[in-house]
Amino acid sequence: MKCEALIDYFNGTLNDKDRAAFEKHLAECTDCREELEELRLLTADLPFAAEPAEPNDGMKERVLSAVFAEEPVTAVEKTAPAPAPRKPARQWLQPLLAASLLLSAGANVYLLAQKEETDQQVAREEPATLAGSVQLAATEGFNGQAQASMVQENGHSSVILQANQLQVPTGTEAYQVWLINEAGDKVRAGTFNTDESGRGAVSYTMPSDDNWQMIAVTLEPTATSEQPLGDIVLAAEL
Amino acid sequence: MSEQDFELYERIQAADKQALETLYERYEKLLFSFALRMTGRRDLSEEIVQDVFMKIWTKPNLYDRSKGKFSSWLLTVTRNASIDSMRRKNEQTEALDERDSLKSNEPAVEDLVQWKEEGTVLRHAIAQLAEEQREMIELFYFKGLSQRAIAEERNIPLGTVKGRIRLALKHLKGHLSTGKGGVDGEVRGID
Ligand SMILES: [Zn+2]
Repeated sequence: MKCEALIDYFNGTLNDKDRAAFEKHLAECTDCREELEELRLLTADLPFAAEPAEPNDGMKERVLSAVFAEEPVTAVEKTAPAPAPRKPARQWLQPLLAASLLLSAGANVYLLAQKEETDQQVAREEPATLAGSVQLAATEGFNGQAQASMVQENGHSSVILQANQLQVPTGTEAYQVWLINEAGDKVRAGTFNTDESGRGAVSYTMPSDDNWQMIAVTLEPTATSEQPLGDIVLAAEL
Repeated sequence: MSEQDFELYERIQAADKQALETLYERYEKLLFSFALRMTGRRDLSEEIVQDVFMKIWTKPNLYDRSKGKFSSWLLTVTRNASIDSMRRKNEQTEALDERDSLKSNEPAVEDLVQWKEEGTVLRHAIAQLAEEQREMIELFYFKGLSQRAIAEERNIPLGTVKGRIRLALKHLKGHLSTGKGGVDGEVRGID
């Protein structure tokens, strides 16, 4: 699986295995990254080549009633405020390709045991403010994505993580969220399962205002892992 | 415009139906026209638009600013849904041949100035391409075919497909730059 798979990657015609292999290649091949970006740029305007066509009669009513018949975005989302972002409490950066490498380099480090909030519902007493958010990207060989939002409310900082398109855990497996500080210490920051469509969410009160460098999600054999045993599925730098 | 889109999107994240309806109204015609350009079928195009808005309504945080301009992201989602739909139905429609029958004198949505501004220039530039290059763009971008399928369709070696696609797209870009010079009187900002 080398450079020649670029076109099929762009068009999404690769199977899961080949796509994962190509994404691995993409991380190592500058040519492919540049060509992919070039393809995106060169095709960005092509949708506008479509001749304007009148939508079907009654289409809006049909589509919207079908859409509104479905459950909207998750419960956590519904209670989350969407105010104009306040000045970020700390700098949240975009995920880096190297995120997973950094994390695995710090394996087997001392881990603080933390009291964990198991309640996945977020009850709010006063309006929370959004301090920042970051996207977690899937590591090589895994699917899914997540958004972690830092929320300040009632004098506490919480992290709310919402993931989708994850592999559905089987048996006792569960996803765990980890915060990693500069020293490489990993702290558990919540456990969650997914629904059958691979969506899951968890809210966790930050143990302290440590200088967290990274957030990661692992798939653990059980929900009680005190240190990461499973593979890192999603990660982002903070 | 993209600021407004982003605001609407954030309200949708809070399950605001009105926001989704506004977003729908803003993009219905563009997304429908694009899906129709790809699939050549009005029934599939309606399904595709429904798929796209269903995703936005039910899946949290699909979009964020790191994914670029909201409208570009929405069009990419629509393209992917169109490719999926064509694959599912295994349709071999010839949207290219139907193009003439799809012509409409409807004014472009005022909101989507880019469409109005670029559509004519773009179609003109595509028409200027050599047949071979037009076909490469059609099969690759609008049909979303695999490399192998393109090679078979065009009866060309598999190893040359990628290079031909890039060449065709670059030629198109070249024609667009020339077109912007104002030969045909199309008004475009100087970038
Ligand atoms: Zn390569």
